[in-house]
Amino acid sequence: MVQTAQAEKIIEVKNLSSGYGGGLTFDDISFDIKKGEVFVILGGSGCGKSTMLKHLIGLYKPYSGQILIEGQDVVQAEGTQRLEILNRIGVMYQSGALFGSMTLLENIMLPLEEFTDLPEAARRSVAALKLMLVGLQGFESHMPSEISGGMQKRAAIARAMALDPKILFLDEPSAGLDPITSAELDQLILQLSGNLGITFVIVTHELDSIYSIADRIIMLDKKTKKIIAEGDPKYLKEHADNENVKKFFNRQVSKDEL
Amino acid sequence: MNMTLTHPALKLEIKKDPQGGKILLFLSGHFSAKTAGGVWQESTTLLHATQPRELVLDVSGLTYCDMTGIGLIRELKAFQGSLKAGFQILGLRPDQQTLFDLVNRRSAQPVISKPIARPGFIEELGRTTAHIGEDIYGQIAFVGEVISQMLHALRHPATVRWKDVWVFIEKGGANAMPLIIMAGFLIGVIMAFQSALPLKQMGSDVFVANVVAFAVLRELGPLITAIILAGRTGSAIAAEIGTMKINEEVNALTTMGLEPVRFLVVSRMLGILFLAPLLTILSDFFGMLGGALVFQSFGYSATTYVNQVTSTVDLGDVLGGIFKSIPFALAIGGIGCLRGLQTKTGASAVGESTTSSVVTGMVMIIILDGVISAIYYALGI
Repeated sequence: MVQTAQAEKIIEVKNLSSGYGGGLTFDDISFDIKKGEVFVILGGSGCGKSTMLKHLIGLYKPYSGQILIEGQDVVQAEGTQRLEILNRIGVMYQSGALFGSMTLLENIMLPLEEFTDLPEAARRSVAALKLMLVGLQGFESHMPSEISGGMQKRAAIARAMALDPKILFLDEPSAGLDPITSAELDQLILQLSGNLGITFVIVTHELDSIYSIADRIIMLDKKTKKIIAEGDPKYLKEHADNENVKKFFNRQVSKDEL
Repeated sequence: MNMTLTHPALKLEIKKDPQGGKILLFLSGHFSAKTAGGVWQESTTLLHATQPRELVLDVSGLTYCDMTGIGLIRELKAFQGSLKAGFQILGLRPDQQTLFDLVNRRSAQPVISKPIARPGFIEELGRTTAHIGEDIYGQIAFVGEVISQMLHALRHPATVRWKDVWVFIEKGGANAMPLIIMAGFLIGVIMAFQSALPLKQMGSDVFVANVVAFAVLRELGPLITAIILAGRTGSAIAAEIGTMKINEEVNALTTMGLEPVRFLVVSRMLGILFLAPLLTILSDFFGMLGGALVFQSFGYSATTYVNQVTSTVDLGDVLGGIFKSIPFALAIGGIGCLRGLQTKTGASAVGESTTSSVVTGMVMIIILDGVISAIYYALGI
């Protein structure tokens, strides 16, 4: 959103190659994510979008290549350096991954308790504020199992934001949400990105959502194992030269899928 | 009166106006969750202690202010509001203002989370009673369903998923053999040593063989096997079915038209019914072997051991012991499946089900053992 002033790179992926058990998922992929932008990773099912996200947050180790978050290599980082990087990012997992034995408020208070010296009342207040931001006021004392799937996702976003990270990674945030909640979530992402300068890295399929929030996208391809499109989605919709990219944005059936 | 409190990267300056009851707080630096601890504590304590008629918050010195900062501003404003005292904020940058507005638009009232009220004694009593009632009802209904499905399986063996049964027998039986062998063998050894002490005092240590045979074949072999099965296999059943339950796999079976009891329970029950007697025989055999080893170390021959054993126990004792493993197996398998299917939601629920399956399994084994012993006594077996 605030691209003009900041062309500064916050995440750099250099020559990333990776895969499972000898197979190849990504073949020598490089891209940058700029500070403050909403960056969306796209691609058909099974192309490794979520895997890419897990590489970016240091959960998976690549065969080769570098992933730099603010200049620090996530792949090599260990100990306190790794913790320092992890404290600057927040992650929302596809299924929420809220701790089932804690209330929503306790879920969000956990990182505050472990990583800040805020007094108890302040932790409570900040955590409640985060819940309110995602529209979950009044559900502080609920257990994750007592709320709907969409609410769990929102609570998971609130937990990812607990420490006000510079980068938020969201894995399919709007999947399973109704259109209104989904649009509200998009609005929230735009506001946070605009006001706090948080960089968002989002994996999603929702075209509406992509058009309204994404500054830039990359599209991964299962066959070539490379990036087949990069740029502004609105521009790509009209001007993509790759057939598959065009079809994705225009919701057409791919010939080789039939 | 001037005070300053410094914290890495965040600074709070407090100015008090002596007559007017007015306080000016000047915040400067980097305001984030990591830096806010001291300032938060300081400013809220100050407000609670002094309760000023007006609070002026100057944030123009902030280089960065995230949601935690906005949270404190909100908290201070809400506190002043609750006292009907004045609040003024100066130097809020437009982007911070937007954030502040966003937070205020979401809810006019500050969120103060209240813990859920604990239920009273009467309510708790009622709940527990209802819970126990439900549990008993569930168990009776489950036993009925399992029996009817097992009978169905006996009448139509083709409907049983034999592949699942064999996999289960391998995991719960073949893989349990080393443990059963070790436990059985050691029980034989232990029984021999323990009984040797008093028997030696009476100069009749030849009867060690009789004691070992009687105890292992009638009681300890089946019991140890059942306890290992409850801890190893019963818990595995509960954990597996429990995980399937929370992953909605059980629901998926139901909506596919596959009866969960038939699909999940029958194969496991058949498996455990098959392997419990076999494992008991294994445990019996190694128990006797362990006894024999100790017996020989006392200087007796193997023939003496066999003679002593056959003079005490007959085939009825051996079969009686092995037969006991069948009700044990029914209890262990049934309880494991029931607890698995009763699993509620969340990862901790699987742990609860697993624990409960082992505890209930052990209790049932001991009760059944008592009942069977009484019956055997009455029948003279």
